[in-house]
Amino acid sequence: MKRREFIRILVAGSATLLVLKPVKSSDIFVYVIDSSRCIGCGKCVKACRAENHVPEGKYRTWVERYVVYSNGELENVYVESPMGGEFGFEEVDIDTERILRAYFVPKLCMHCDKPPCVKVCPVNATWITEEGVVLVDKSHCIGCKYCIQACPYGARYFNHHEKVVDKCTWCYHRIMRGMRPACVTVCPTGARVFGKLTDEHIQDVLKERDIRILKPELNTRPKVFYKNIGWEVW
Amino acid sequence: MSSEVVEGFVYPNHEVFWGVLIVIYPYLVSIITGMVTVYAIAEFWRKELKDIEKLVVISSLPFVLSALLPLLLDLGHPQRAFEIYITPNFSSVMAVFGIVYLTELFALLGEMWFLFRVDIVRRAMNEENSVLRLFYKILTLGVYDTDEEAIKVDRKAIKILTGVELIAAWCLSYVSFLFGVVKSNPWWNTTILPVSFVFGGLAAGGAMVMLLYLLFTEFYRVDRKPEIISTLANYVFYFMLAAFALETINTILYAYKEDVAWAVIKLASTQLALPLAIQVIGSLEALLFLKYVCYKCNMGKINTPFIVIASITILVVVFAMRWNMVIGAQLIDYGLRGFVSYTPPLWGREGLIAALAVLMAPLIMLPIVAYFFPPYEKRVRAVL
Repeated sequence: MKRREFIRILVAGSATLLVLKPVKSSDIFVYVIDSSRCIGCGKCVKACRAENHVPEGKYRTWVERYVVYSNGELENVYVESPMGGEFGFEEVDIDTERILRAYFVPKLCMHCDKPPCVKVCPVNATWITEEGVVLVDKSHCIGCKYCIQACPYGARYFNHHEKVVDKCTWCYHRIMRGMRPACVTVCPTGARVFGKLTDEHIQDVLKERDIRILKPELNTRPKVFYKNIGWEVW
Repeated sequence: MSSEVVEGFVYPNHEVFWGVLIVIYPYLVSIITGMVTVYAIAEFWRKELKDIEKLVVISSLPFVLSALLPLLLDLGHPQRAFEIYITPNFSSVMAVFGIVYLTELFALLGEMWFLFRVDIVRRAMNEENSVLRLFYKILTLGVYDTDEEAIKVDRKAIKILTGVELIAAWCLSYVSFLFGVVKSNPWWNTTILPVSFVFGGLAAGGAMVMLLYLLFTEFYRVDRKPEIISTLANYVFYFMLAAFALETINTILYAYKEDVAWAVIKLASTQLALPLAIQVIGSLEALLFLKYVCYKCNMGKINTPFIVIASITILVVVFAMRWNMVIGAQLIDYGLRGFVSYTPPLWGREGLIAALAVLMAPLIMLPIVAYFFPPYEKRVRAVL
């Protein structure tokens, strides 16, 4: 084979590979949480545990309660999540007259577009799918826990029984069959909204000005968006 | 391991995921860096340290071999550890460290072979025990040439391998980079951390060499040279001073900036009162002792108890530094609103006993390596 011929084949081959390489789908999934609708009932946490066999004491999703109060000085913030909010919340021991605002905030994996957990995994056991979902291959995970350290949202946990890292998958097994994640399905108030980025009901929410992501300064580009939360949530 | 919420709110999944074993890993790596650097100093710059070359090389090997132990014990699936080489993710610092580690190991083995080649050939020909003779024959790799020309080639190869090993050891010491890139953890995410880590490692490695020099000279009945102790103590002094200064600057910067993480870091530090006290008081004490040792050596005297105290103090101080870095940072929740405590269990794979065994592993391996590759000729003292 002549040199010129070899180079031609090489260029043609590379070009073909580039064309064949799957482009990132614009139909990625996103998740929207309207905090003003959440009543802190914990049904989402229970449903998640049942659907995904989440071990006791570990959470793929949890609910936090924020109580902002003041004694005449600058705001104080009280945050709690007893047992991940799975069994609801007790009455808070703060004088109601001093409370400025109080609300519930469901948390889960942000399925970041630039996930630090994926970046640090030494063996490629965690990756981001074409649909934008961050998954873990349990049969490949070596259990080094580096991804847990890298996640700024505390969304990953170590499964002490299986000795691997686990996390929310947005119920990948359900969404790929056209269903919604278990937590979204059971939410009695519609505080959790799930869909494709191009879906009309998602687009409508994203057009609003008070939409927020958590810890934007870390440049992780989360795909979970929040409505009606204060500055104190991060 | 057990970690419980001490104060404030922490994310429900939060715990201290990396325990005492991951404290030992960077500690061993630190000692390796220091030892390899001492070797490079002897090879390239300070001829008075030539006497300890073999000692440093054979002592480095058990530490390099043991460095993987704490990592393997900490893994959920240690049997899958080799996946780091099969399906590596090159954007992961941990995967890159796997490659650097192998480079370090092979460079050290090569260096050891060239350094001991003449001894190996001699023993392959003269050893009385047939099993040992066969062992050394295999180690010669079929090369029995020990004339001047061949030894010159050996020296050249040693120089090149020392360069490679030094780079690999310093890269390994940048293991703190593994922590530094975790941008979500304010304690780790600082620019000073990797640099102070390297200097702490250099001091620990130097201190270990001083201790081993005392031990080996005692065992082989070799005369100790004040100029060796003086040069080593001087280097260790400046390395320790740099590590201590950088750690202090880091803390002052944090306290002065008073960002959102400082409030919780300040509170979580109460959990680290003992290691922090060891770090500060021990550093100052070791610095004073080292200067005194240098002063005595310059007058031709060797103050053995002071050398031992200073060296052990530095080893303890650097361990405390690693503890504060690895455990301290994990006490703080990423929500920056609370912290947990950490008490290592006594038993189990991640327990104190296992950790102690890992720490002792290089010291147990060392006499075995020294048996096959003695750094000095043993002198026999006449009994009158």
